[in-house]
Amino acid sequence: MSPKGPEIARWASLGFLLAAGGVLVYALGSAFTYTATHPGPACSNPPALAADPPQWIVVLCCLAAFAAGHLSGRWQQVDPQHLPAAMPAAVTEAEQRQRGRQVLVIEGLLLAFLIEILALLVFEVVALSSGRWPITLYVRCAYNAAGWPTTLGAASVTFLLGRWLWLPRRSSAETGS
Amino acid sequence: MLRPAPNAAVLSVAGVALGTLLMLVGADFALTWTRRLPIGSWVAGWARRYPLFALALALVAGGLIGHFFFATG
Repeated sequence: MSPKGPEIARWASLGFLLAAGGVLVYALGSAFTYTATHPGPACSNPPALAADPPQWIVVLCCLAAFAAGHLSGRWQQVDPQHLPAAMPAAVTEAEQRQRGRQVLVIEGLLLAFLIEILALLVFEVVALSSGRWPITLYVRCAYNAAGWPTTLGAASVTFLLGRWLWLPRRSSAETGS
Repeated sequence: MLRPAPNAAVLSVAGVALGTLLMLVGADFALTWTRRLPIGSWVAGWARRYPLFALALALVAGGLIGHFFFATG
């Protein structure tokens, strides 16, 4: 990759993250607006499987977004002073406190992710045990009622998963390039 | 036949799920903007330190994605 590559990837990452955040805000706003103004779901019960765009296009979009997420995270530029290999051992108490705060932030983010999974599982268990729609039917309903926005939302989620969970090679993780 | 859940329950779950993702997006954006290691690199470091936890987490996340997005019935 050329020397400008990581910088381009960094700006692409920022643009993709903004776009993904915008799509998630739009999806959340649409869900709130619709449910606040309509008593029932926006589709038939159970939701139909076919909608526009066809499912294979949705799958392709999600796969492309997953790969884009991985590549944007793998190629983006990182300031060398923030790389683990470049960090000197924390000797003073202030440095140790700062490292501790950084670790706390990362563990907090991981905890937030686990809490999200827990909330989804609790909803799923309660819904299925009381004869309600599982989450998959809401996703299918959204796809049925608003195919392209739902495709964009699914692509945003898979972009983020590709960016966060698809591990780069060890050398990439250590050099940040 | 299964019925839709009350609107308040659906909105609560959607708010928690998408809100958490938005918070993580904001954190990743800030890390990328300041040229620090992005969240993925921290997750990679954590996964290499705790491979069994990472494997379990990947299985759960993959199962959830398949469960939520891949409905054929």
